[in-house]
Amino acid sequence: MKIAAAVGTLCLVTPLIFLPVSPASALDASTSSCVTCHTDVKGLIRLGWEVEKVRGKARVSAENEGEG
Amino acid sequence: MEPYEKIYVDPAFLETEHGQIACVDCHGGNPEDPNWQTAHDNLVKDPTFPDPEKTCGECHPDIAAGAATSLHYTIAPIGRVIERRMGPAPENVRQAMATARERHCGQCHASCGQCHVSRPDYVRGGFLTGHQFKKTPPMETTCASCHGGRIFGEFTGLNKKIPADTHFADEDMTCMDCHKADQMHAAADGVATRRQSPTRPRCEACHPEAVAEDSPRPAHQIHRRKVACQVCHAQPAKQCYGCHVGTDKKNIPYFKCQKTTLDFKIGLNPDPSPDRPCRYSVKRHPPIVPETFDYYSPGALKHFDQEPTWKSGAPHTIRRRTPQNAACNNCHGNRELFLDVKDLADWERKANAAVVVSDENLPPAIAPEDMPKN
Repeated sequence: MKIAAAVGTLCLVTPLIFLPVSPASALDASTSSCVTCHTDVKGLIRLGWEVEKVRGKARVSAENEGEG
Repeated sequence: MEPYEKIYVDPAFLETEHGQIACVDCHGGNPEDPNWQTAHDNLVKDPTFPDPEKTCGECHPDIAAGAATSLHYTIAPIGRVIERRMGPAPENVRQAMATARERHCGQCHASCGQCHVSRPDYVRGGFLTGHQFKKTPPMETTCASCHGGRIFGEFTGLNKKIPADTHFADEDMTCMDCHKADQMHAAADGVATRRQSPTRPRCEACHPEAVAEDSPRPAHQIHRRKVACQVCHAQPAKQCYGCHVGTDKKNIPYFKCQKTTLDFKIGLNPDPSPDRPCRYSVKRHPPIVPETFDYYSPGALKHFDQEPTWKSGAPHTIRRRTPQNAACNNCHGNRELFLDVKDLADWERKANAAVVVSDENLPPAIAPEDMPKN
């Protein structure tokens, strides 16, 4: 009985081991907040406002004159 | 570019070869932290600068090893020119000038990532296409970001009344058709100026017949190894004058460039060599003046005259037919085309003594009976 159960489990598990894993799912598996946030356009727009509040706008001197 | 566009990662990138590498492997940070502020602690924005060997070099070791000392990475020749204009200087002056160079000149370097993944830092970055790696960078958003002031506008015809370079206008060429990867990635230890780089573009690479002894064109036979190609084939290009740099009240670096003009001047080659034998070349005026860095260290350029202010240039305004090559005497005897002492401000006369074309060095007008047939 035990042998039959073990063989059954092996038959179920073995194909799973050799199933191809797609790159996207491989990355999802790494549960990267980087990917989650940086592929979300709406979120990035909102975050952009938040970042601007914290860090301010990119700074360019008002004293620049002429062609650079 | 909108702020979100700069950092948006296209899901298509995740399907590419580079997309298989976990973000954290190159950029560090805390990928499992959902709080953006703490997630970005210790983040490396550009993992390819200053040392590309730990990232790009893992798979591209030959390219990364050379790139780290390439002209784009180090912009070392600019520093060397400033050193020569400074000469021996006390430590406090050297420190002040190092700060100036870091805040101003040093902003124009480019790394692997700043050409192949994003726009350069000089224009505050931003992914080219959702973090996808571009084997050939798009010239409009990479090259033009730093070379837009002069070269890109010349090449693409943005200067009023000066047609675009024929390589762009008629042949659909891009920067990278001449400035190939082997030049961009070349190690440049000890290269004094970019014009000494052995991998720089050469006209004769594509036009060997133009410099051949038996060239089918008499004008090419007569002028070969005496006159740089641009002397006959370039149009006016942008010259800059009177740049001053400093830091404003908010501690932000600024520049002030007094004026720019579109001019064409031929000067003498002050340092002929077997590699660059031509007696005459087209000159470009860079924006430097003796007071450029006075904000940081007044009078630091004590040996300003060690370098000319009209330097050999390569205007990207090439045309087969130009006003000066339409007839022999459009150039020969035409004082206006040749750099004269009258073209110089008093403070730059000594610096340009070796490049000014005196009356005796002016090619004389040619009598009609002496003109070549063709």
